[in-house]
Amino acid sequence: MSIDRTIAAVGDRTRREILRRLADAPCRAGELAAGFAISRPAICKHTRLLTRAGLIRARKSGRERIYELAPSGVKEMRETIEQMEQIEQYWNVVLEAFRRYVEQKK
Amino acid sequence: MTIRKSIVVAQTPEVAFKVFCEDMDKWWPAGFSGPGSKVFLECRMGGRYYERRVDGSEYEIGLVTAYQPPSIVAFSWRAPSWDVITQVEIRFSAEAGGTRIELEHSGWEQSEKTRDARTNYDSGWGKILEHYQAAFARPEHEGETR
Repeated sequence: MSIDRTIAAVGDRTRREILRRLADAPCRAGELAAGFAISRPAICKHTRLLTRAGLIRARKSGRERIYELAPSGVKEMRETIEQMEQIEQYWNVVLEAFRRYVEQKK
Repeated sequence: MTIRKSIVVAQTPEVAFKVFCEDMDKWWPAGFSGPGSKVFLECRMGGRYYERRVDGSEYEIGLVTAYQPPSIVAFSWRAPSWDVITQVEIRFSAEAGGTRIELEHSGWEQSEKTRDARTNYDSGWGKILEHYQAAFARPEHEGETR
């Protein structure tokens, strides 16, 4: 898992919207583009990126590809949120170190 | 999402700003490379924000994107293993008892031009995690996450 791969995947409105739709129900590749103001190839780029990030997966059903949330996404999202919490905690440490240092200055 | 932190220090904004920027190597806790590494800020627009490791090598964390004493300093921020560049902005303002320092760490939403106050940590990524948890709590997916 890589935090910045997940951040990059989730840090985009269209991709978040794709995740939200797939959370409701798995969706045929052809239907996923409907309702978006961008082209089907553009949607394909987004789904490729989400697949690589382990957030969604495609399965074949006859001649159709069906996208759905990937079980590994639970772990990816959880770990990313945990790392964000660590970054938050890091800033607490930095600011507290600054306060201690600056307040002893005359 | 944006990380926001705030702290009050018992100094004037002038002193707080100067010490924050100019003495960064003296007060900043160890850099990315652990104990002994020091963090420096070149105090001018476009200056480097970097860490110097124990072996003398340097890693550029980012560049100064705003330098307005004694109120605003901002720099870009990228961890060594990352492909995303984020932004850190720190504001200093006078407050009873000293200076309030407000830190914002943003840029996690690479494609969002406008800041959306509602897209914070909880309603943003936490929401997506909830989607996953809801989806895999359904009977047809039971056991898959284990």
